[in-house]
Amino acid sequence: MKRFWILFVNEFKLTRTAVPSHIVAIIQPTILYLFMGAILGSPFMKMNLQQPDTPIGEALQVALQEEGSPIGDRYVNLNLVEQSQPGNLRQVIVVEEENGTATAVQRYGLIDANQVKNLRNRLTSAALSLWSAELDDQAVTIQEHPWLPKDNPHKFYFGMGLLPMAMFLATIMLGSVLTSQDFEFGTIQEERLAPSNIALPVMTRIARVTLYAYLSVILLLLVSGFMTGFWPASVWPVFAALLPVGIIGGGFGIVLGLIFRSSVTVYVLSMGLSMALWLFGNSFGLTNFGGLYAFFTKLSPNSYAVELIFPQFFGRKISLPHMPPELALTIGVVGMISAALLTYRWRVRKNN
Amino acid sequence: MQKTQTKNDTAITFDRTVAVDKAVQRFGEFTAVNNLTFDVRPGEIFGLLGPNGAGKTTTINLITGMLRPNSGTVRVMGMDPKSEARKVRQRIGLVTQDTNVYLDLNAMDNMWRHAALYNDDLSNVGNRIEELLNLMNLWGRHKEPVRNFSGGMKRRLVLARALLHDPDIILLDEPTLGVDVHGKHVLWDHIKELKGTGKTFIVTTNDMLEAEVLFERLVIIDHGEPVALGTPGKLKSELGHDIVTLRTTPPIDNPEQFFANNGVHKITRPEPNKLLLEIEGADRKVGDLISRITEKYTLESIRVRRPTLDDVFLHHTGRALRE
Repeated sequence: MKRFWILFVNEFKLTRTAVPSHIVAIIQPTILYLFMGAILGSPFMKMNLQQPDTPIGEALQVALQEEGSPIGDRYVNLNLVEQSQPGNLRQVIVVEEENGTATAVQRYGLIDANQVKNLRNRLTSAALSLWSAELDDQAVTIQEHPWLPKDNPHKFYFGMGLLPMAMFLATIMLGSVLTSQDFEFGTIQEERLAPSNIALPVMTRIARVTLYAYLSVILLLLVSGFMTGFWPASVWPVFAALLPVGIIGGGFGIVLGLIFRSSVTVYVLSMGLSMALWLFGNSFGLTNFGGLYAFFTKLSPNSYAVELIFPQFFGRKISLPHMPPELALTIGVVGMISAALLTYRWRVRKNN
Repeated sequence: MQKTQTKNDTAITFDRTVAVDKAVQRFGEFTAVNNLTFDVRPGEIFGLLGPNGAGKTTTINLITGMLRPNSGTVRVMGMDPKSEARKVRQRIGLVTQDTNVYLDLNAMDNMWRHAALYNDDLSNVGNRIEELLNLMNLWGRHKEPVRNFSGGMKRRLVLARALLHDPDIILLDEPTLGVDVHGKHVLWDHIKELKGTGKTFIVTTNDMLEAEVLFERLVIIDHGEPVALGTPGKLKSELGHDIVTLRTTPPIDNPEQFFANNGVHKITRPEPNKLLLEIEGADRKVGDLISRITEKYTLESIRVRRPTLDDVFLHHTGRALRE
């Protein structure tokens, strides 16, 4: 144990050999989080409505102005225009009468399909509420039961999903950079002849990068918490759920470092892999990208970590159609530690 | 005779710290070491002398067990360095050609890391580190980043690190490569001092001066093959001749015929107008030589000296060590 402790402390001192990587590992997920929040569009959409001159038109105007989430935030920034000019406007609604029936006609300029979908949804929702009221609730009844007591700000809702990415990025990047530097510095020579067990250098490095990665997680937790007002019920289950992700990332990093032996190469690779596993790691919570995405989701440890930490933020579970997350993460941890040990033996101690 | 314990705790006696017997090491078609045989006695400084690519580092790798010979045997303190790697590696310390230390860490941190990887007993490591850094005159700067050290200081640190787990055999692969003259002398003094503690040193070099100063016995290797084995004095005396180096204008066309009656044993021509003559008792014959040469040629320079290890190498291989 003393041997492990000496090497563990020494591993932290190696921070001096790769200061830029350590800084990036801590702040990159938080910067990504803030950047994405800044560039994502607002759900509070500007919608044009030609000045209504009929009672049903005025009713639609009110309904649109009230359109919003079930628990508060408005979704429609209504803009009344004198005359519909579809050539100049991105979208405009005109309430007309066709064959004696009030009809809301929505016209579009040059906008993308997703924008069309969003605008149409809001109009449909507003019109539906009118229709439902007119029919005295006999044809359509809408009930909404929000999970949360307040709206999760759209721009920053993905903070929770970034937590596994923060853990994975820091561990894979530092694990791979420190290991490849051992080859670049020639210090791996010292390990080649060491009579100690091969698990000693591998496990101390995994432990060290995992512990360090919690700095990145804590920073992101704080920033996302202050931005959204959403905090986990308890941080310890969150940290516990991220631990296997850190071990998997650390082991993966050591494997990369041992194979490529170039800190620049593994830096780029670890950054790319972190992003890929984040995107395929169910990090967008309830978003559904279809079958192929769902398949790749099963391969990312982030998916299982998200499944475990979700209840800490939102008070209920999400159930993904695959194996229990505890089992999946255990398999990942055992597999990646084994891979790191075998690769270390192959690259460093093959002559033992 | 010394004793060591094998892994099944059977005591084996040995009087050779390292014994290499007809070792052959091939890499594909290339033969790096061919039929190499030598042994190293306990407590001596043994040298492997040869030009770059001669097979010195391969020999070190055979001794450490990093390589297993294609044929022949290698024994370290009576043990097979491959099958008993762990035990052998606890008994050897290696200083590689590269100064493989963490430059951004200080000397203490580098030493502690080595201790965690190598030392069986960690109870007294702090004192041992201080003792070794003192021995290598590094204690006063032990908290500075190694990046600030001179080349010689770094090599001394690597040597101190190799001694940390108290090995019986220290392998030094070109230990003074890239070190300035003063640094070399300091390092040589340390090695000699450590020899007094009973350590065995196996040192590779292509530096003739280092070999002359340091080695008690040596094997000269060329193209992976041993060409001479013995003490420096014995190898030089076996040559038996003095060396006359002379430059003429124009070059002497047929030196064998020209010096046929002057008691010259061997002639080599390292440069077109430069000749090296091996002559017994050259100081008595040099006057006659000068007279004979100046009859037909302009003698630009002439020097008479005792043979060096470079001459021994030249004698056995037909080329200079540095070629």
